[in-house]
Amino acid sequence: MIKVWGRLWEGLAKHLKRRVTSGILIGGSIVLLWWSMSYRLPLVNQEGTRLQKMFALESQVIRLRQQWSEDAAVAVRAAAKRAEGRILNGDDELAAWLKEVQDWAHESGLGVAYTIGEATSLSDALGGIKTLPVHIQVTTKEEERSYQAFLQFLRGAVESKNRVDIRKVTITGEGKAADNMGIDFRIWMRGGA
Amino acid sequence: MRKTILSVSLLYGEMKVLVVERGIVRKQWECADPVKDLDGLRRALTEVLRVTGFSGRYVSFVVEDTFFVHQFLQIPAMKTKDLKVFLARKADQIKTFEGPAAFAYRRTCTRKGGEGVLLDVLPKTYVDELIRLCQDLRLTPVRLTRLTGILARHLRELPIRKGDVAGLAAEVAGKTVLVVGTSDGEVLFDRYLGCSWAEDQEIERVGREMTRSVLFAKQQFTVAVGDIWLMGGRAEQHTEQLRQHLDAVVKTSPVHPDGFYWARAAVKLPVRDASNFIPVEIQQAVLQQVMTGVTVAAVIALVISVVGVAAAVEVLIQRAQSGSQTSSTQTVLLEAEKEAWNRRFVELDRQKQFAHAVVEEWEPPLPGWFLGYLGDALPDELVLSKASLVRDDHGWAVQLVGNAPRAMTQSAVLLQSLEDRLKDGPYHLTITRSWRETWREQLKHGHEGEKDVVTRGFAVEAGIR
Repeated sequence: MIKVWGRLWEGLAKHLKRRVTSGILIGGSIVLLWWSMSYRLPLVNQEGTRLQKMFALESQVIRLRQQWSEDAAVAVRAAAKRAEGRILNGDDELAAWLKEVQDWAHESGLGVAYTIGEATSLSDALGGIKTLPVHIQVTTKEEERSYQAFLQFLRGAVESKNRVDIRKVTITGEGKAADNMGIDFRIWMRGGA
Repeated sequence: MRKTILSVSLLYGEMKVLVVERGIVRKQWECADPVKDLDGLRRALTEVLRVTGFSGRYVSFVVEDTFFVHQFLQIPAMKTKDLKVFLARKADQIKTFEGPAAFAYRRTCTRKGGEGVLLDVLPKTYVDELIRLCQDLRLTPVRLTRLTGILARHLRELPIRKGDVAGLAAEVAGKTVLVVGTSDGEVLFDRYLGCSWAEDQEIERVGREMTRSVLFAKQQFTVAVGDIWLMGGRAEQHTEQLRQHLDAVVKTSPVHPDGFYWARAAVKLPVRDASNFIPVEIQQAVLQQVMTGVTVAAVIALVISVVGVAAAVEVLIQRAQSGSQTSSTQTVLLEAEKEAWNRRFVELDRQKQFAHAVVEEWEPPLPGWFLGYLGDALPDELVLSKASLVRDDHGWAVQLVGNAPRAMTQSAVLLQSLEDRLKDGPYHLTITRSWRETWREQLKHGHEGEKDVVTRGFAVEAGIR
């Protein structure tokens, strides 16, 4: 094959050889330039894009670092910790709270009964916190200062460290004194129930 | 027309040379000995270059010699390409020498239709050798022609009436060249005579030949040759003698050619002419060399540029790739750090919302406070059987139900007092159902008439917003 080409080349006139050589060089140059521009140069551009992305990422990280305030974070964490302390954690703490409520009632000579409803989950942002409806029925046989005893009980219930929301209070009495108080609570708790 | 050229006239062995630089004749040189062959020409040209120091590339020859074969042909009109083929065949037929023939030609005007051609033939080896010897001396021959072209050009400069036909005869080295043509330089035919009027014994012969030429013009072209102009060979001395042998007006050309006239006139002739024996590709050899050089340089420049660009791109890629590893690692680290920061911010935000929801959104124990206030605000004469606070969307809905004394006036005062206290007190209750409405209902249903009842029921509904 090479010999055939060699013979063909020898057979070409001088000016034709020059033209063929020039054509090969020009064609080769054009092909090389096209290949370089089409396939190789984009690699440089890709790297440039990657660097740009990296710089953008770096500036984002710097901005996040600047936005962060450790003092503010400490304060938020402390507030969250305090808030966490106000949430009943599971059935044990719920039972302890109810026991506490019963103790208050007994200390004040009040009778107490409670019913617990279905818990409702709060928003996802609050991470598993539920509100538990608890109805407490308080009764007394004392006529003297029964109203004051009910108020005392109510204050004690809502002023405990736990997050307890009152939804409804009804005090009733036949005759001269109050003898019955119903309270609907919403108790904030995590887990249990 | 070349501006810098060596113009050589070689007329029957007499060689004269002009060195023309930038269109101006700088030097002239004359060969002392007759130049009889190409070896002699080589020696003479070598001497010219040595003596004149000519530094140009081009050389022009106007040649007259006995080896030229000349013929006037009448042919049908045809394309130049076909004409060349025809003339090549004709040249082979009329040649008087061995070997291949080279030819040049000049189209002439005809008056009988068809086409006239003045064909000049000489040995091809002469042309080739001439070209070779020039190239050996680093010269490029651009013209090898006979005198006809110069004489035709000179015809235009003679005072001939427009449209008239005249003859112009030039004496060259004891020979005569006769051109018959029109006032605008259009040649009808030419003749090369082996005699001249410079020799007294040949005047009659010259006159006879010229008369034949006049008759030929009349017969062949149906034109009358008005004047015959003589040029060179002390023409003015022989004009009168020639008139005796000619049936035409004989005049002397205003131009008296010196020995270098032909070389000087040849410079003005165009080289792209069919009467030139030098092929076009030889004439353009210098231009072709320059063009080849320019092309080669351009191709090399192109190749170098392209290779340079490709190399630069490769260097850029290498640099980019060497930094790529570092940047990739750094990008991964930065992404991880950004992710960590985002998690911290999200967690902080969650904690903030949680604390806010638990602590800040805590509802105060308003029912306890209100019931405490109610104990003080309720007049002693009124007895409550029910006090209720219910949380709704707008605040708290309050309902008070109880008994008032039976005495209407007293009860009204007490109940109004209660309502006023509720409205004006610290909780600013909005009364939604007054005690009066309870009374109106009691009146409607007749409770007012029951005599054994000691108290009067009431109900008040209100809202804390």
